Amino acid sequence: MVSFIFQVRVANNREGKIRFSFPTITFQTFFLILFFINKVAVSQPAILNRPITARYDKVPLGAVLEDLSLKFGVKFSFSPRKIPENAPITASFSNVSLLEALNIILDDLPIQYELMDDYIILKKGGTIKSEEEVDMVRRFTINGYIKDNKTGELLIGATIYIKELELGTISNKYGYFSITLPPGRYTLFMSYMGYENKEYAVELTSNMKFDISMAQSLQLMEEVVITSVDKEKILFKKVASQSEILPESIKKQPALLGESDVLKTLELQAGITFFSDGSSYFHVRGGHYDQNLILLDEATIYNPSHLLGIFSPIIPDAVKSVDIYKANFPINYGGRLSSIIDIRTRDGNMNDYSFSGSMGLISARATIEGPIREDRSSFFISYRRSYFDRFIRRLAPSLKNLYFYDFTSKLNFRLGSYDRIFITFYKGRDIFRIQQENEQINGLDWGNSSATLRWNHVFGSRLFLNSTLLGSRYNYYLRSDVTTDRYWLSEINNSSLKEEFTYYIKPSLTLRFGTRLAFYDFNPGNYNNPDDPESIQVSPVHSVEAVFYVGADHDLFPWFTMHYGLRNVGWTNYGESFVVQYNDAYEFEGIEYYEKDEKFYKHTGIEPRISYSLKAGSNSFFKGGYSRTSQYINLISNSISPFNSFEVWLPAGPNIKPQLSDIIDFGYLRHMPGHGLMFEGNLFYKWMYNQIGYKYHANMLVNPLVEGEIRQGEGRAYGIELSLKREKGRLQGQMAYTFSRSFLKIEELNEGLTYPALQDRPHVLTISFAFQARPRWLITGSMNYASGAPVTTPSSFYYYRGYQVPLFDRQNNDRLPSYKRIDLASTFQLNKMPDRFEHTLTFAIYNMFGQQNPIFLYFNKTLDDNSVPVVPADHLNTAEITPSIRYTFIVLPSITYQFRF
Amino acid sequence: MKTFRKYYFQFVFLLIFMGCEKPYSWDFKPVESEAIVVDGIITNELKEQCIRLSGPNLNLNDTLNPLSGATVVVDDSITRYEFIESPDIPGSYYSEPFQVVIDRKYRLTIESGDRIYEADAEVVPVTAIPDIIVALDDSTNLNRFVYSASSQASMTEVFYDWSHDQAFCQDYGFYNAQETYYTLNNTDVNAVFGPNREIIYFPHETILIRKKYGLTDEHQQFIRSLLMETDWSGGIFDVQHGNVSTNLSNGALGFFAACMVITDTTRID
Repeated sequence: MVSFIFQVRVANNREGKIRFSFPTITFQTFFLILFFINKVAVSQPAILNRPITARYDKVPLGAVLEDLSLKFGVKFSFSPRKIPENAPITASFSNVSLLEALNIILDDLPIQYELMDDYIILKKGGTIKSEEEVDMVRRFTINGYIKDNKTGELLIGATIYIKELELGTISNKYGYFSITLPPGRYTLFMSYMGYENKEYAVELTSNMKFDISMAQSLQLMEEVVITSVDKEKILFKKVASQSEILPESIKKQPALLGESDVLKTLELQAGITFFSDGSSYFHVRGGHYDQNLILLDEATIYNPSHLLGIFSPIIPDAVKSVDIYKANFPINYGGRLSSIIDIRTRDGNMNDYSFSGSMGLISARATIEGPIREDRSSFFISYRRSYFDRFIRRLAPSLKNLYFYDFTSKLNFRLGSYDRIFITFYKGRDIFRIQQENEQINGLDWGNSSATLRWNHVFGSRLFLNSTLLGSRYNYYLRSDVTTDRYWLSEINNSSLKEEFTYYIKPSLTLRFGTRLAFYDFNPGNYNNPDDPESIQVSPVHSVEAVFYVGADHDLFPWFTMHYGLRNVGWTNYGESFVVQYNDAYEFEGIEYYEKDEKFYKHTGIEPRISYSLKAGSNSFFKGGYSRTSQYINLISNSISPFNSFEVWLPAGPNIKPQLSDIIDFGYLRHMPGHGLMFEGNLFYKWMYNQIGYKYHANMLVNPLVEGEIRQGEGRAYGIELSLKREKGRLQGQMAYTFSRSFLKIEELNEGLTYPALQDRPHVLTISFAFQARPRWLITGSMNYASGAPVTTPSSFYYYRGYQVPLFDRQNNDRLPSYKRIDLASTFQLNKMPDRFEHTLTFAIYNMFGQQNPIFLYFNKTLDDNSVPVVPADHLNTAEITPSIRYTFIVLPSITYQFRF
Repeated sequence: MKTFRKYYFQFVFLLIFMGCEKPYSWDFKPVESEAIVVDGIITNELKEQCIRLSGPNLNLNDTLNPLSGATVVVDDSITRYEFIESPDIPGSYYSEPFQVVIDRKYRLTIESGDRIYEADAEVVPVTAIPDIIVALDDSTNLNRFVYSASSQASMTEVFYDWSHDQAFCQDYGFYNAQETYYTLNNTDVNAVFGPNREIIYFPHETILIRKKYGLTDEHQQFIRSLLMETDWSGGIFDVQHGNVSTNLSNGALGFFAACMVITDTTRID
């Protein structure tokens, strides 16, 4: 008997303040079900072909089935309400297969049967008699994992194609595939970008477990070795508004100060716009930056920034795949309105040890990976730390610390053919300390950390389970005195359990269903004073999210596939908390106190999702979809700065309605294999509800009434995205153009009139290329253009006690100058290929033409004696005000050395 | 290489953490406004109290646009104080001498054109002014005032009179100056990481007059809003711009306040 009790204890992080534990949650039933499924789903397909001899004379059908079941170990499944168990059976047969015997037994009965692994499912319907018809219902499954032959790394999105049937499937996020076919001789064709194709001849007479190892292509640049047929299959299966970034392309892109950046590479995708230089905020299809869910091995990264946003916290070496969903999220994903950035880390080399690293001007990173037990388990460890603090301290002795680091590790265990366990741990942090004139040290530090435990199990050959237990944490400290431990802290903690099932019913139908239970603790920014450790200024909030979903990937016709499903999301807030009540004018009315575990807010939402892909001819596809998404977690900040500051996270609750969106999109995709070109165009329209705005000059920091500063309204965004990619030859690249608009209408802001949202950037154009000039010399570059960000400028000015005060007529009535940047990089492979020791040197120039891209426009400064804009102090002799702009990152050259052995 | 690295990091550090700021010619999109602006603080000083009225300017740096011909009255439900426009300073309205007192509500009524604007104000006590601190800049032998935060929400105006030093007057352009410091109960990111403010240096023998105002919550919120658009705007954590709050009705701008003030005068040696 398997029983397992899972306990979740969540404590508020303000030690000594509110501390509680959730009620113990027993998952006994759940795990018993899993155990049961596991026991009964042992594969014994050969029994179906064993010859049978039997004779029945007016024996009830139920007894006949029981007899067959006892004699031959097969299992029958049927509903007694639909199957006449008492129907008398008279039949006699000798040395026939079980299936033939069933045809004889069920000859006169309106019963149909279907084989599913070692089950025979009886259903109401006509009988099936011919051999061909028998073959139609007899199915065997080929399933297994696809991996790299050298490293054992599981390959996501590899194509498995059955040439004879022109059918195929794609390996899932864990490298697993399953395809169920009639018996026969087949040629299995496998392909994966950057790998040599592979072909196997198989004779399918029973279920097959088939792990496939693929070899990397030896070419330096990732030529597209995928055949046009397979590429067509991949493109057909791909949902609209989905794209992916290859880790190799991340490393090749010219990067700021030579720091390859996973998230910054997103700016090359159509429909994604970064806030500005030096920012890790990005907007997807007119959505706010808090509407993007960044997942690292399924754990949420809440603040994807280092040095206020100049770099992002994901170490490029640790990345296996990056999938981007701008709409039509897979049914198992949700929680944000605009995008899912699903980053998967590498599993670690199962066969050999390897060490790699790089040194740049800002930081160094090192990665080690290898087998723990060959071909059974592996580890992967990657660490990065900036070291420019050493130099900056010399320039500014008061600067005690200024650095960031990231640590990513993963353990990967293969426990037999049906089980795999992955354990991922990530921690990234920024530390900034400065000593004041009075010797007091203060500063900032913030960081994300997460831990993920995943168990993959295959039940039988067609039911795949990914079970994930994870925890993630983000906190931000503003330390007013390090020595006496006085700080302001904003924090979000999350622990969750996910059970995701994928049932490969047949090649044309895959069912996905599962559940997610997540617990959150929010500390929306409190000041910790050691003299009064019990004081809380802003109430913590505790929430639980329960998600159930079911969906299907359904090839209705060879030329038409659909993905559809429903998600049910339930959100509950509970104590210990105090909730401030406001009247209609957002004025304080009272406080309600809720005791530990006392529920005070519940919301349930249904999210329907449907998308399709229609083959419009050879290598041409129409795609589209509709989806509803909801967001219960909000980043609360009225900042217009591209830099991370003291944001706090708050959940939906009595004073904040959950954000919702409906998006429809329509796309056309054309692949031109002869030229290695791919064109994609997408149209979208997005309705967003309960969008968050803020009262003008809202008081966001350490304000118990912070929820009263929030105003909510509607948003809408629409646009067209066009991209052209070349994935073949020495010159590869991509061009992407987006026209989109994004507007908000919040009753209490801008006199209730619609205004452009902060993320409204009508025109965005990006061009990137990679040119293999010589076998060991690669030149890459990119060009970015974007309309300027909306900005609110004064329509007039007035004087008040010596101040020139701006008067605004409309919000975001103006626009900063457009953004332009060109980057270039050149990478030299220093070793002669192929070599065990590989090393490269990259020279890069960021913003090579020194474009001054404004991030702020100011209209309150005067020029000092050195012509530097400063805020005037003298209010008696009013100074002349001069508009000014601030920009960052003019020409920045860098050099980076990378190695691997 | 070492030198290169040193300068490279200096360069990067400046770029990242300070960025570059430069004057920029901006084409504002002016929109006419008929709003009136009220700058009125009546105090517990027994004097002719003054309320200034003006209108907005379409362009930055236009001169003050005084509003004449208005009827200005302050009423404390016991006495009605009429403010008469000064013939010498258009837009400045003066009362007969009076002083505000605690526990009384003052109502300002302005009639201009066909519109009436009103605002209420109350008085809160003010605490003592802390001892004065000045810092000497050795390189120039000039002083600067060092503000000490108050224990209460307050506004401190500092008047400098260096008329004794003609050379300095010539250099500065004026014989006096005034700056304002605040202690507010809120914490704001753009205040903590605010932009650089001009520093007023003054010569020895300068007379400093400090005037400290006690602030009501409403007045404090107005000042916070004002500073968001003035002194605190221009850093790297700016917030969404919006019109400065007011306690005046009918679309008027500015603020009407009644304050307890205390004053001290110091000659800096």
